[in-house]
Amino acid sequence: MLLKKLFYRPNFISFYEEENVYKLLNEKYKNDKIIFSENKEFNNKKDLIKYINSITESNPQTYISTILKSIDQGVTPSCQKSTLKKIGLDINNIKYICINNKYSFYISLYELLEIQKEFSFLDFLYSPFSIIDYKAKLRNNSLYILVMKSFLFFIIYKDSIPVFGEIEEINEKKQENKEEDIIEEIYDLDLSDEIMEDDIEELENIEDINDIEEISQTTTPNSIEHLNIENKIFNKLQEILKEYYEQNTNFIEKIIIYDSITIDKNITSIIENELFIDTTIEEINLLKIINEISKKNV
Amino acid sequence: MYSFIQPKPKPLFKEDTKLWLIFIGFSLILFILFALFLEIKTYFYKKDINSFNKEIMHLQKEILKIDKEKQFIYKQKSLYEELMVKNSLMKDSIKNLLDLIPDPITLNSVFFEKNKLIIYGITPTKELYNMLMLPPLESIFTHSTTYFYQMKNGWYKFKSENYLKEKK
Repeated sequence: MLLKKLFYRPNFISFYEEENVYKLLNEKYKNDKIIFSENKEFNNKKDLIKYINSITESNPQTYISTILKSIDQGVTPSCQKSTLKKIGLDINNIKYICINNKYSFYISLYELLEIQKEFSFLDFLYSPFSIIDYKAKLRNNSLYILVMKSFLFFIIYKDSIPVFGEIEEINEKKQENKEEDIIEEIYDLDLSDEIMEDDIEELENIEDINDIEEISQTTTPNSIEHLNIENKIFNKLQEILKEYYEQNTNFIEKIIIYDSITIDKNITSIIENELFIDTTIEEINLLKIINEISKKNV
Repeated sequence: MYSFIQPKPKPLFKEDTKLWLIFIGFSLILFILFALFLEIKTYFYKKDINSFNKEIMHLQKEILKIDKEKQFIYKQKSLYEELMVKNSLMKDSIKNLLDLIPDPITLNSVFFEKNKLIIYGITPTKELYNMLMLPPLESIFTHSTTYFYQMKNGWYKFKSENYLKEKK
């Protein structure tokens, strides 16, 4: 044990793929202190594997973690097999982990095997929902959103348990093909649909959105892309709230956005003005959080 | 927690580090064993040194004792030699004395004591005695006294007291 204390210098590597770019964080610890940290980006899988192999070779105490970005996963407010079956999950084809004997995260077994085949060196594999769950402090009537470039993850907490989870895939290909004008069209279309359904208060919001449009025109194309994401977040949020309120009487009191790609901060005011829910946005370093969880797991 | 898979077991060291460690450990053990061996050897040597020291002390005492005995023997020897010399001297002097005694003088008795010679005898005349007897006695002894008694036939009985040292 003393030997382990003396020679224990673990490396924690976390990585995930986003728009064909592999983002990686390599941290080396000594007595709970970071003695080395390196951020890397790789354009192909080969380079990533080569880099990870070189690290593993130099330090056998290397723990490699990643998150699973796929629609075939979710969160359920129960650990009972019967409850999982009731929800409509095929127990034989999923792998689920139970947290605190209260709720569970699941992924499809196929996806798990695929990613294990793809990266045979993996030590930890997390669901992005777990990242939210790890970070979430307000756990009653709160809604959390994890924003990534191609996916949005939503969790609603009630009495410390995630009662609702949802994934929204942002289709990158569509985004690339469509021009700014078309994006604007989408705004209009989506919003008009919502307005038709909701009260007049929302009408005011159109002005806000117009404001944002104005801002977007003055900023870089990248922010326009983000604006699109913000729009999607907002739309999906409305959808989710609608769906949630159909089944629950409790009101959502707080919305917390975990932002890993730096979206426009104005989204909080949009949500607050439109939905009257207190909203905060928090920029997070996903890779760092993944390593943090892995470190606790070791 | 949170992970869908279990981490693989991680060795604490690389394979070649392990080999090195085994080698270093092995040589360390050898070093320690050798050091132990040396330590034990020195311990026994120290023990030997102690016993040898004790023996040396003992022998030195013995030597002192023998020296004393030797001194004593030397003293005895010198005493013996002295006595021998004295005796031979005495013997010689007596022999000389007896040789020196002239024909006319007859000795009745001779007493030897320490540093003292008493002679009783008869002499025809005092002059004969003083001429023939006294000079050799005076040459040997430091002090010499003679007493005469006249006999009926006119000869003299004499008593001669001779001392080697001053008469006390």
